[in-house]
Amino acid sequence: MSKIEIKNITKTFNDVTALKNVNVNFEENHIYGLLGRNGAGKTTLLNLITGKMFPTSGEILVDGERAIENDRALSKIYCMTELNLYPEKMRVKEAFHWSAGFYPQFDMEYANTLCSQFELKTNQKIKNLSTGYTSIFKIIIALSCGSEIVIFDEPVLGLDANHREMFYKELIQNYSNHPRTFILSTHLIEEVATIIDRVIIIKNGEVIMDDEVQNVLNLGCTVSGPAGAVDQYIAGKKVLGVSTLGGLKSAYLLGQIHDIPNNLEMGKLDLQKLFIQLTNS
Amino acid sequence: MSKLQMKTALKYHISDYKNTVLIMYLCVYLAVLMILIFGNVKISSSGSSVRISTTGGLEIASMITIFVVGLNSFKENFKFLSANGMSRKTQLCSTIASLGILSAVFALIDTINSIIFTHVMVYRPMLVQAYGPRYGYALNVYPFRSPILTAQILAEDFLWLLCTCFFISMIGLWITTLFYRMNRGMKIAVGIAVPVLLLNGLPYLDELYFGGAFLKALARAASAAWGLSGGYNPYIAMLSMLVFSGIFAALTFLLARRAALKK
Amino acid sequence: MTFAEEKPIYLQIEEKIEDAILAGAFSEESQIPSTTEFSVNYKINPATALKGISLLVDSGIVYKKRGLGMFVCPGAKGIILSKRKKDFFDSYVSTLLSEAKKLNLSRDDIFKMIERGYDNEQN
Repeated sequence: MSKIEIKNITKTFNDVTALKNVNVNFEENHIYGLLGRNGAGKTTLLNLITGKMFPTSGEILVDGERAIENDRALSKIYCMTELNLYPEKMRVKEAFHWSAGFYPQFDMEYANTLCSQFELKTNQKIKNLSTGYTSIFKIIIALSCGSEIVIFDEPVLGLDANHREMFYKELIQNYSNHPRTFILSTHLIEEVATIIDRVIIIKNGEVIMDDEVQNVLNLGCTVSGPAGAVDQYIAGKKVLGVSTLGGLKSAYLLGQIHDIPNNLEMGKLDLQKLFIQLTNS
Repeated sequence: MSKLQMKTALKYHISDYKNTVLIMYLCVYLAVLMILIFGNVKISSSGSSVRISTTGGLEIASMITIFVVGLNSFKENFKFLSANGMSRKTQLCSTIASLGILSAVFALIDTINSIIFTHVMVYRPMLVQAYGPRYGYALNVYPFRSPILTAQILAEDFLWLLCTCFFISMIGLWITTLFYRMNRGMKIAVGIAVPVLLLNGLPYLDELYFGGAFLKALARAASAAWGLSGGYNPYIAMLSMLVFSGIFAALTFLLARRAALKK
Repeated sequence: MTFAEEKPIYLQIEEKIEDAILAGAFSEESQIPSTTEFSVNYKINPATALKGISLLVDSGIVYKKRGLGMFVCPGAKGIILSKRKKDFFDSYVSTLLSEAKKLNLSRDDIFKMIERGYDNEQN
């Protein structure tokens, strides 16, 4: 079981600040959802954690040790990225073989089982895999490597619905058998909302949310009804956003409400809706 | 530094080299075959043919090959080994170590080849071509016989080739790492400026200001470093090349330390 | 199986298992699937499944046999029924009455509808 501490991390590229003073911890025995719009800084954060780039300031600790250029820390983490980091001519089974060399807890039998389940032929060259099967290939390594921290960056890119379902079920099974730290970074919020138990939202390089999913779901609600009545009701309350359909208005509020007038309807704010409202603008 | 990571990385590098080594020696042996078949000249009057061709220095193949290997030793490895949780330090150590092993393999096979080649034709190993007088073979004299490869020559041949191949591979590694760190503009600038400066600018300026003395001094220094001034001592060359290798390796470390993985 | 947005998932899990016991899918003294199996099947976090099952343990509906798994308590059906009866008013009656208010249905209207419901069942 391992944990990651991100302390005051700032990362600037020339004159663009990708991450601003980010402080967040990833602890053992949780499935984290790392959410953020395109360009919010999610991938930058993951690249910093895995040592693919260096922070401008701040530090990253893995089990209390500085992670920079630290073999021990880096070998506790496996990250499946969008990038294609494998040599073109390498075959799937060769990649498994080398991964097993670098990650001693790699379960080759399990990897081969997953290959037949997902119908991935291990003799294929990696460069010849389709987008979907490239993702599947990376997912299988991530699930089989047995490292204490596993990061999935857009894992279901190109996967059809059947394979996505297979992946989520396999992920849960894997996590249940060997609880550790999983980090899922994805745009498909609705699909992962029930699987993650902690959610971290990044907006414009800053962490705007870091909490248990249960708490986050209680954070907001929707109020809908005649536009005039809604406006009257939401005056003075923390409003995340509104949407209007003719005379029917819906408002997304931060906070719970307990007394609602008869002509208005109250509803829950699911994770995806909450995310959209929080990150719009 | 993790032992397991180093071990796996070394195995990985070496498995990568296998094909290259095989193909290169295939070409070398093919070349020797060609020389044996076509290297005869007929003397018309008596009707007999005399083998008067002489060859040498086929080790150049290893040197060119290992230079190219060095040139390919950063980018792909950096991506792959980073994906497998290795720090840049350890990655470089494994790369350099594997190039050292490859140098030893080339040196060994080339030394053995020298024994074979000197027996099937008139052949001079590179070491004898450069340091001949040390072993009693005059330079710049057309050899009609292969040198006899004593234990001393073979030992020094192996060691000298080892150092030379390693040195050349370190240059290749340094160049490719340098280019990885440079952005496109710098690459173009360096790609044009360096050859122009070295081949045109430097000799011109030297002639203008020093009457050619600078390059002459440089040539003398190189000669000394390779043990060729006032004597023929390959051990000085080996030492120099190891020192230079160390310098290039250190420069490569400095370049790789802050390298960011690019898309 | 999708989850309604209204109730926390762990409560819905508790409810689903109770429904299954009432319907006879899990009979008394028989083993129910493990936390892992529930979480994989419903695609939810194992901690959430565990939370739901823990509620059932607290209510005396299921119990844990060391090394074997979770089993349905004897008398579980009865416990569930009395629990549901207690919640019936909050779960159904209040909602019915507030919706009726919106539609301006009178008390008599409601009674007539309920009677109609019973009559339909008898036929």
